[in-house]
Amino acid sequence: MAKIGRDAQSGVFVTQTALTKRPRTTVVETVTIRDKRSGKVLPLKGYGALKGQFSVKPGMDISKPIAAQTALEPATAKK
Amino acid sequence: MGLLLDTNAMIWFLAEEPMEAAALYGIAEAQAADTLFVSPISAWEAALALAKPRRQPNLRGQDAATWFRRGRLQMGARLIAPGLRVGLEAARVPDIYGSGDPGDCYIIASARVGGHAVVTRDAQMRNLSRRRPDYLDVIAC
Repeated sequence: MAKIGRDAQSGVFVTQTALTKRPRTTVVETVTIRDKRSGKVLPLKGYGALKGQFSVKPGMDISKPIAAQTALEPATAKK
Repeated sequence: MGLLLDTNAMIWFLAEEPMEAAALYGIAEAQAADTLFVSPISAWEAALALAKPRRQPNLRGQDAATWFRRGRLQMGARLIAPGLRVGLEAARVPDIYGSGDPGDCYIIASARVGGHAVVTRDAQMRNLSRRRPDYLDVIAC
């Protein structure tokens, strides 16, 4: 059963979840990149931000149509 | 004009795989101009491509939807809405592209409707751009 309490700012009774919930923040990974021709440097957001967090199915080449490769997979459902 | 990341470009970019310098700089410029886009069709393709270990719900507790959402936020990319115009344009793509792959068709159609260049390593898409530069602009990654 959820606990309730009074919100310090509004004075309204709220559940414990609402009392303890904090806004989520996202730390954006940023590196810089220099254009060889102009020499201009720009921030590059997100490059490598999710490194190691996505493994492609074995044997799949994502530079080719993905859906077609999935359709060729053998059925795995057990009878 | 903006940049639309193909699914392979999004996966490799977020994984810090080596990419062409021109593509990375183009992405940085698009981020600065708030004209970097990803398509929801990439979330679908990512879900198809994501390896799931047996007897585990997903990889490191992170499914394709979470990966897509977090990746989009990290890149500061905007989501392209696959509206009616994109859907109808996607139906015309196979005749010119020579393939009816839904992912490719929607990426190409979204780029055409929005007037964007596509960042991709897909050889067939790059061939189309070489053959029909008036039809599709591609930045190889």
